[in-house]
Amino acid sequence: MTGKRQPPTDDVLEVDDLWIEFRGGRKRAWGPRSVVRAVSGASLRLGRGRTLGLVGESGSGKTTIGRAVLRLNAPTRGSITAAGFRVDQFRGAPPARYRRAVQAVFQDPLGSLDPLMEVQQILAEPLRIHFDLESGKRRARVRELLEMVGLSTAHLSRYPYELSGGQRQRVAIAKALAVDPQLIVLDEPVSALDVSVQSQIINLLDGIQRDRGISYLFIAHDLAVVRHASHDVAVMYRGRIMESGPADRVCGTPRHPYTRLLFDAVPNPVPRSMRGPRRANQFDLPLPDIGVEPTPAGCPFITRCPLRGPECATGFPEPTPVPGGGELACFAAERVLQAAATPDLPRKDAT
Amino acid sequence: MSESASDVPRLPAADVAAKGSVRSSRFLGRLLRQRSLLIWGTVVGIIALSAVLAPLLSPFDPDTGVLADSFAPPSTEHWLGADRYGRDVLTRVLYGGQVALLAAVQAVAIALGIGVPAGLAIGYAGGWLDRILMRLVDGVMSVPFLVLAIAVIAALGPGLHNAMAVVGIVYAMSVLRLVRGEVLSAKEELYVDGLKVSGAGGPRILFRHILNNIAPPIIVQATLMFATAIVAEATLSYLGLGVTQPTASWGSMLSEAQATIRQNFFLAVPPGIAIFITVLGINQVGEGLRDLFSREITVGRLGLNVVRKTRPTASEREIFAGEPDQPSALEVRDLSVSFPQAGGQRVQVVQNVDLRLRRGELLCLVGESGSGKSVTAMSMLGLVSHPGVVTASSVRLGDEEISGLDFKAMRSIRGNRIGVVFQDPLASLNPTFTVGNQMCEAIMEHRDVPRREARRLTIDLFERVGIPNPELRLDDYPFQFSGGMAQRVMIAMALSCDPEVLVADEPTTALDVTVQKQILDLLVGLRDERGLSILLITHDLGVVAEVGDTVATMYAGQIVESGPVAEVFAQPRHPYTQGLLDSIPRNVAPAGALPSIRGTVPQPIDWPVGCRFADRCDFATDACRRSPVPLAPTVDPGHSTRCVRVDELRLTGIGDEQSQVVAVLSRASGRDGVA
Amino acid sequence: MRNVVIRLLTMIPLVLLVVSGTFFLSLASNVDPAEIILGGNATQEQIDALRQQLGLDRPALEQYWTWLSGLLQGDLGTSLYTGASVTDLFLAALPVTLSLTAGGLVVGVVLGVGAGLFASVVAGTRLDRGVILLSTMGQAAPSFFVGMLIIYFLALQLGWFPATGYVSPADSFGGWLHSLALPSIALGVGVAAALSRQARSSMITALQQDYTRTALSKGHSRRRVVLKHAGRNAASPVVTSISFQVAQLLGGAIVVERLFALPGLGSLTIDAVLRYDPNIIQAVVLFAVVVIVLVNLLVDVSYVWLNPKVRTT
Repeated sequence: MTGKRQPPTDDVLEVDDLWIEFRGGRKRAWGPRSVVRAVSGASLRLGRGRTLGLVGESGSGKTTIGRAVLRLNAPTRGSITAAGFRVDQFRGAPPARYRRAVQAVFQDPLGSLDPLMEVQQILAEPLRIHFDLESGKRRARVRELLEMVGLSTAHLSRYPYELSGGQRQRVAIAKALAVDPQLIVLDEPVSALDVSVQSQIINLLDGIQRDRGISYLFIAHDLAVVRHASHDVAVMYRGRIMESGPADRVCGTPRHPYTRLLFDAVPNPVPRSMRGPRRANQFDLPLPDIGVEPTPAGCPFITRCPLRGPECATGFPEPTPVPGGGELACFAAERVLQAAATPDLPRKDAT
Repeated sequence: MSESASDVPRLPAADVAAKGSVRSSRFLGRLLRQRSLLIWGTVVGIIALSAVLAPLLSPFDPDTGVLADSFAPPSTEHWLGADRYGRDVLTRVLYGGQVALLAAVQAVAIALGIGVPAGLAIGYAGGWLDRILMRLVDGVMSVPFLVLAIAVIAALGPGLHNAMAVVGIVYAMSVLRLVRGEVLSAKEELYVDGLKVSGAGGPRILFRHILNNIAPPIIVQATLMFATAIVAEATLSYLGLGVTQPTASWGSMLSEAQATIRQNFFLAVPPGIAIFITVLGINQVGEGLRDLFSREITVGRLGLNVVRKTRPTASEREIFAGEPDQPSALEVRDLSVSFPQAGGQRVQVVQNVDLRLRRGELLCLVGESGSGKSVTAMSMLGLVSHPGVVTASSVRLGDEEISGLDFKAMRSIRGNRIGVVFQDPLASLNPTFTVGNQMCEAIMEHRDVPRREARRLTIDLFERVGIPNPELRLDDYPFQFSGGMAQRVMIAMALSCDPEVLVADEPTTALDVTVQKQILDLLVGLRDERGLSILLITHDLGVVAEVGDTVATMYAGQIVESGPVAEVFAQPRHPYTQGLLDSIPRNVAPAGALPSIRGTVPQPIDWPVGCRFADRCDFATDACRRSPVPLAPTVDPGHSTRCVRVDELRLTGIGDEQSQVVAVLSRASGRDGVA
Repeated sequence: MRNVVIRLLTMIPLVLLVVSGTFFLSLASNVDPAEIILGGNATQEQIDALRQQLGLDRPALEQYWTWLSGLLQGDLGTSLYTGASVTDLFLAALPVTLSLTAGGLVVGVVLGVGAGLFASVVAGTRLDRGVILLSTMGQAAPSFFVGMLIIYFLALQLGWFPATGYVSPADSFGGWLHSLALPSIALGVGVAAALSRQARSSMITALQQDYTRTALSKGHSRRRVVLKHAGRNAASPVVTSISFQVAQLLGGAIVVERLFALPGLGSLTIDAVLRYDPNIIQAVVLFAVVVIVLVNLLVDVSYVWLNPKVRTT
């Protein structure tokens, strides 16, 4: 996402101290139901026309946040303001105006389209719901949408299962664009696609954002993809936001021990024999289990963290600003930031 | 850049229109192919029609007879004879059909009328209403319906309508349950979330989308219910609780026939056969509908899909990757796999694959979805599902030919000389047995050791693959493991008999990236310390770069390039490999649009005659499309490619880290960095 | 364990609900037992006197209370028709019905599960289609028609089995088995047909799972793969299906008892309906519900054994 865009300053999405809990099963036959905390105290901001990448491994709570923004689940505490609506305060189904402002594209493009509808019906559905168009105009609009995502009229009468993965995802994007939204939640939009098609979809999304100034909340587990697709990145682990900031800073110079572990694990496409000698890295192996289960109040990364101290078990740190932009939530922040001054840290930084 | 840009707009309009109409008549086409459905539908139609037209078809009155004809045998006058009272049996069977059909219509109408709306409402609302009502439904369903019907008839007095109303209500409960279950699972479907986000309200989602999608099982259920309602009517009438004398019903006719079974057995046959054929017919129609709506499942012969031996067709050129003098652990020649298509012809999903895995080597078979990479690996072990047909001129394990082996011989190889690790570890472990049980079982299958020894070996293996506290974890079930730990169990199991070859089919695709790294490190460690030969199937070139010694790229069922990893990545000889290398998302500052390969992977049925990649290739010429391109060695030893223009093209490869950084730095000045 | 206890507790109101429903249904009926007992030419005084004697003139709730408290003490009331104790009639008929139901269950499970297992292993072949055809036919033939055919051929023509009647195992164990053979087959055919389809389809599902492929890749024999690995996983739906079939068996027993003139609960019930004897019917309904509840409980317990996930969470 390059190009000289001056993003407006107003926020399309503001998440403030969000907590989301689900009721789980019982541990003992007559015991109380356990509470599964999917998101703990997450705060995010997303400006107009910008992309915020939300990365994390499975169980990090990234998808839960996306679904909360879409009001497909309800927050336990905290506030979500999206496109000027207080999403957390909705009672029952959100108003149609909200549905027009905030749209979604999901990971599995086959599952997210009604299997019994042709592409033209799928695209006409949001138009029918939100706009009182005569059928001719609606058809014209459907064609326009298809064109926007690089499909042609030949695809109008196909069923989802007759399309390739990439084409289905294009249909899903067209469906989201049908109501001219301000914000689209992209929940792993390219994870199910082949690598050669992933880039097509990311380029398409990028083009649409330039043309229409739509904001994206881009949820993904692939760090490299997120870096390409986002202006800002937030890294989540087990419901907590560990580190956030401008994409190039977070991905180029990750500071949080977890973020560094994560980036070091990404396979390097340069074969080993073509690389220089490998630096010894303290995050290579899972650390010995210290026998402490992470407490709900403490840092969830404690079991794997080489920098852990006694305070990590009892509380979760306030985010500290990081030079170069963004914040990091670590009690050992001081040490981490000092270590950053030494040359042992990641490789390239565009600045 | 997009799929459409390349091929689709060139389709003439008429062609597109024709495709549309083909699509709309497709359902009809499938219907016509279901011959048994049509035949049985006709049978049921004839039965229904003759019951309706009974007064026109028969000159006799069903309820009064001529005593002189008592027990008359079949004759030209009474085609099926006459009963004790001299009534014409055929006439009574026809009129009995009226009773049966009406009763069944009544019961099914009540069942659907109550069950569908209630099921939709309860399923969609959920919550406490759902819990209470489902308890009630369980209650009603727990009483055998005949007992319930009898209780109601006892109170209200005999009569077919009362009885069938009870039957209808009992059926309504099972319809309700079915509809609710379908709605509940449909509600979990992603497309319903999509609709909610589109702003569709509850009723719209329920009636316009969910109801359409769950209609097939309801239709099938209603059909089958119609059949059981006919049996229910006959049963009640047989017991004297349904129709009253002298009305004809198949059940009451059987009851009368029973009374005189010693004098005249034949009387039992017409009504019995009438019930039998009608119910059989309706059931067959229901089954046919079920098949129509769902894809057919065929398992075929379990356990082995044997590799059929063909005569070698390809020339004996040395086209394998890597050092030629290294002894091979697993070698495949001319492997093809085909599957039957709807039209009757077969389509080859894997074509003439040659692979050689050398001892102590990690060979990566890489490709996109549908490239045939997994099928290739599974076919060597005879694990391709039926009705796939696997052929090869040779499959050699070490010095032994293993193509064409029977199940028993193959068993001594599977798990013993070749270990296999699959993609989804939690699905690949049997959920109902402890991991220790499954491990010991594998060891004891091939080694003559007592269970105690097998357990000890298991603990050692668990330790080697990095499972903490192996003694304790042994008695856990697979679902108690995380994905990464479960994959370690799978690897331990594959290694349990110290195999020569490990086949790992996308072993890390289902895992998180930090776990993937650990598993890959484990595999590399095993190769290094045991000299294990590993065939790793993956779609991720990053994984190949991390662990691979040699690589074979597959596209559309063919190997398009193979060679040593460093060489292929530095200097690919096929534009597809180059495209894949370019597409890998890399953790570098973005510079312009991401490179991608245009178009989509074609379906096997659409594979072109010439180079299969030509339509997506930037370098394609007419020569590429003309005829099949063979896999040919390049100037580099052990490196081969399937490209016509191999000598002209200079592909850039992955580029080393240094040049990447330089490129990024030079571009960085031209963009407004955020930092 | 928790589930089993909860299930048991929630079943109590269910049983109560069903039997009370039956009771009030018979009260709401416009048939007057007194009239039926005394016949058409009884005077109104006679009828009233009998009504009073039977307690039929009291308010509905009072009658209900009397009946319910009797029920809790194991007193099922008396037959309005013969005056005999319902409990005695019930206990006399019970062994017949239990023997028959058990016989039908054995025939159904052995034939059904066996055929289904076989069909799943040869799925897609002619043998498989043959099994499917047989089971469709089995479902299409009502038990009384099957029964009449086997009575005619195996009993009347060949004389291998008695056509009707019941021999108590106390009198002759062989005779008991002999007398039950044909009724059990008549009753079990439909059950076998239904179970074979369920067994086939859940086995096919299990055989297509990844773990089956894993078991094969370990080099196990077909027997081990089918019976151990797929079988254990396929068992739960089959067991559920068996529990549904028990309800079918109880209903079917009524028909088969009538066909073979067996003095079981079914015959008792039919007579009671035709004569209008509500106490007997209530007893039978109660019995059926309790049996079903117990079977469901057994099924729940079996899930715990079959599915380790239930066991440990």
